[in-house]
Formats: sequence, C-alpha cells, structure tokens
Amino acid sequence: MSIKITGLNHSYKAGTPFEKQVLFDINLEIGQGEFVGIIGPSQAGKSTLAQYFNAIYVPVRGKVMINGQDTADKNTDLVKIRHAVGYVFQNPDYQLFKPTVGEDIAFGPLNQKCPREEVEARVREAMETVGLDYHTFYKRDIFSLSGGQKRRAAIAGVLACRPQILVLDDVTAGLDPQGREDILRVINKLHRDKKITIIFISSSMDDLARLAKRIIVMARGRIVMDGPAREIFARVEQLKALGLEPPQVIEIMHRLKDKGFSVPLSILNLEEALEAIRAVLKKTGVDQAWS
Amino acid sequence: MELTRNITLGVYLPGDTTIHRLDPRTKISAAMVLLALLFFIKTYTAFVFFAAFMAALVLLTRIPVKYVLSGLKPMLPVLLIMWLCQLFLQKPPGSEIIFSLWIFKASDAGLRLGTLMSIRVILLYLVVTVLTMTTSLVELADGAEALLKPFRKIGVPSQELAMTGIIALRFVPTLAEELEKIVKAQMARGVAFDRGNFIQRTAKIFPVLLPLFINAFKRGEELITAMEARNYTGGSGRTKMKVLKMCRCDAGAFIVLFIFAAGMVALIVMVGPPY
Repeated sequence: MSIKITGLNHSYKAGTPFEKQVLFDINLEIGQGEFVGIIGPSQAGKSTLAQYFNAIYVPVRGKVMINGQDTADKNTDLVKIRHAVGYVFQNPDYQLFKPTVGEDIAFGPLNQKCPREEVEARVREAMETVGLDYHTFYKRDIFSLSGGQKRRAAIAGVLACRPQILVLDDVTAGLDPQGREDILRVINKLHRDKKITIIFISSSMDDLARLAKRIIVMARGRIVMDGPAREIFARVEQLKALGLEPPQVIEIMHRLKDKGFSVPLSILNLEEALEAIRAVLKKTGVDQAWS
Repeated sequence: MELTRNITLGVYLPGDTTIHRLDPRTKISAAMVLLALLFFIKTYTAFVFFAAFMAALVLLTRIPVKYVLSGLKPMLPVLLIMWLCQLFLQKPPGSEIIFSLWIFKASDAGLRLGTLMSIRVILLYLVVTVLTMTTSLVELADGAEALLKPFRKIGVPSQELAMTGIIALRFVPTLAEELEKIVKAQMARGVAFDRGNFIQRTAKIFPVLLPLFINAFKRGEELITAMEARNYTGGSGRTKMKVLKMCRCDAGAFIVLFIFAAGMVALIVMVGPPY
C-alpha cells in the first residue's frame, strides 16, 4: 500500500479574487511500513498535501496514485481509499458526534458495512489500542471526556476502520506532557506491532525526533528537505532559517560543542544524548560522580 | 471540495470605489428602500430598469462580476423548484393553459409569476451582496446602530440588535470553514456525501450538523465571556472611536436613489398587469 505523487499543484478558491496557490510541484513517494514525519512552519501546505493521501482532495494539476490507483480517475472508489488511508484531524470536536464513545467509534466500521459482531470486535480493539478502557468508556458521554481522552477517542474512531496507512495531523498540539506521551506511545505501538504506515504531521520537532525515521520538511508550499531523520535534524542552520526549532536534544548537543566538548551532533533522542555525554565525561575523567 | 468558495454573504472586499466610500447609513437605507421596492414591482419593464440599476451598482463596486454571481450557485436548485411550482400550480382566474406535461398544466400566469419571482430573488441577493461586499462589519454595525438609535427612546435595544446582527454575519464564513473541516473529518471515516438516494443523503447531515451546532454554541459562550471580560455591558453610554460623517457623495447617492425610487413608484402605479 503506497502513495506516489507527481507534479502536484493546489490552489484555494481558484477563479475567485481570493485565489491562492498553496502547493507547488510536489513529488513524493511513501512506501509500505514507513514512518514519515512532515514538518514545516504554519501555512506551509502540510495538511493540504496530506488531504491528497486519503483522497479528500483529488488532483487538478498533477497525479496522485494510492495503492496503484489514480485518485483522479472517475472509476476509482474513493470511499475505499478513505477506509484504507485513515486521517485523524487535530480537533476531535470536528469528528465526535454520537452520544457515546462506543457509538462514535463504531461509526467508521458501520460505514464500511461490517457485520455487528465485527463492529463490536473492532471497537473493543481500537479502544484497547488507544488506552481507553472498554468498560469505563464504552458508554461514556462524549462531552464528559477530557481533551486528551477526546483525541484518543477520535483516533480510535479512525483505527476501527482498520486502515493500512494512518495520517495524523498535528494530534499532539495543545496536549499536556502526559497526554502527549500517551499519544506518542500509541502511535509507536501502531507502527511497531500493527505495521501501519504512519504519516505524522507536526510542528514539534521533539515529537518527530522520537519516532520518525524519515522527515519531509515543507515551507511555503514546497518540499525543501526529504531524507532520513538523523540527516535532516543535523541541518540545524537550515531548519532555523525556515523558522523551525531543532529538537531540544540537538540544541543541547550544539551548545555543548560550542563550549568545547567534543560531542557528536547527529543525535536523535534522549538516550543517545545521555550516551554521548557519558562518553565525553568518561574521557575527561568525571565519570564516577555521574554514572 | 471547498464549501466556502460560494459563500459570498458576509464577505467583505475592501476597495476605494464610490460605493465603498459612502456612509454605511446611506448604504443601509438605500438597501432597505431597494428591497421594499422589489416587493412591489410586478412588471417585466420595472424589473428590467431595476436590474439595469443593480448592474450599474455592481460595476461601480469594481468587484469581479463572476464572483458576485457565484454566490447564486447554491440557490439555483431552490429557485428552479420554486419556478416550477409557480408554473404548474398558479391558476388565477382569467389565466390560460399554455402547455401540459403529464398531469401538470402550466398556465401563462404561472410562467409570468414564476419568472418574476425568480428575478425578484436574484435581485434581492444582489442588493444584499452589494451592501455586504462594500461595507465592512464595523461599518455595518455603526450604520445599523445609528439608524436604530432614535428607536432607543421607545425601548428598542438598538446597539445590542446591531451587534447581534453583525456578529451573525461575521460568523457565516467562519462557520462555513468549520463545516468544511467537519465534512472532511467525516469523509475520512467513510461517509460518502455524494452517494445514496435523497433520504440517505439527508440522514448524512447529522454527522455534520451536530458537531457544527455544538461548536457554534461553544464559540458563542467564549465570545460572550471575551466581550464581558472587556467590559461590554450593552449599548447605553458606549462611545465610538470613529464617528460616522456624511459627505457630498452621500448627498449625491440619496438624490440618485430618490430619482430611481420615484421612477419605480411611477411604474408600479401606472402600469399594472392584468393579474
């Protein structure tokens, strides 16, 4: 299940006085099982691009092939594509509408015309995956949920459709650190255990540093960087020029280097940073107190 | 996909044309006069003059005509249904049947009334659109409030009414945007809005209408809190940063309006249709 985009351009309100081009000549391929992070300053076109992945937008200029099917082709079943490519929006309030959590999560599979028992099984599985206890939350009123719980319920609602690709659009924004941890853990589990291709759109470099293997950086409607995470994060100056803050660990490594410590700069996460710092401290003999 | 494409109601396009520079009180009163006239004219001739007047106004605003007319698109199905109803159901005494389709008989009165009604709706839309496209929300609020001020003495809450109306207008594009996001979120879960028979499609409005309403209420509450936090306690005693002032172009506009209205009234009174 793969996505291949060639020569994609997109304009909003084309033909009106408000016309604005937001995507310029996008070329990109995402393969099965990848974990791709898409990052960029706001208004870079990340969400617009992502909405081509599940055929919410169909190309007017350019070509989008999902799983070998051309989304612009009139014979392509777009609804099937939307079941196979799940999309979780940032604001769960735009999605949750049924009276109870269980009913809302069941909405997706019911649209897929699943038999009753399978719907039940999928709802249970989805709730378990996102960490919402079945017995506590199944009959809960959606208005009684906290922000983080709503977000998890929304993700569960999309997971219940059993997608092969999952697009997460800025789902950690506005969450407290614990909420963030919970969501990231869920996403990691989905990628590792269920082998779902994850496309993670975020403005937080730290989130991406933890999970993404490949990073695509967008700015002003174009893809400006596309490569392995380590490589992209190392380009601190370029990222800063685009208005993006590099992951905190990398920032720390750079500052240590500036102060004269010979630490490597291509660090991805806290563990690697600790290892690197320990190694340097060992060399300078301060090992005992810090190990 | 964009639902906000054809929402032209409430959308303000800034400009520096004569119409843009008119005092909002002038524009609002003119709009009311024109709307009142619209309800009384009944002949093709009168409508032709009215349409010509509106065409002149639209051109004066220098807003692309295509854009102004694009707001009519959502209305077309309803207009068509209304026209067909008038065509086949109007049978006032003295009318003749001009043709029949299956069991439906179309009368010439029906054709005339249906067409006139449709034209009336289109012209109504044009009057309101010219007003909202050339007058910013703040201007509209000030203008409406000023016009209603004399009625405060008899207990009409002029400022509050103006505020309510303007907030409602101001949120039309915002709600349309939110509607689009909700539609996308439900589309992403497999709701096919373009499939199914009429009943099925109507049922699909719930996954969209509910979040929209809930969010609208939440927004309303937040707005009230924000306004109260900035000390809004209603209209009495409220002062203004920019005070409205009429100028020479307003006098000119009123003269043009008066001449046009007089002409229309003459047409209404002198030339009446048989029915």
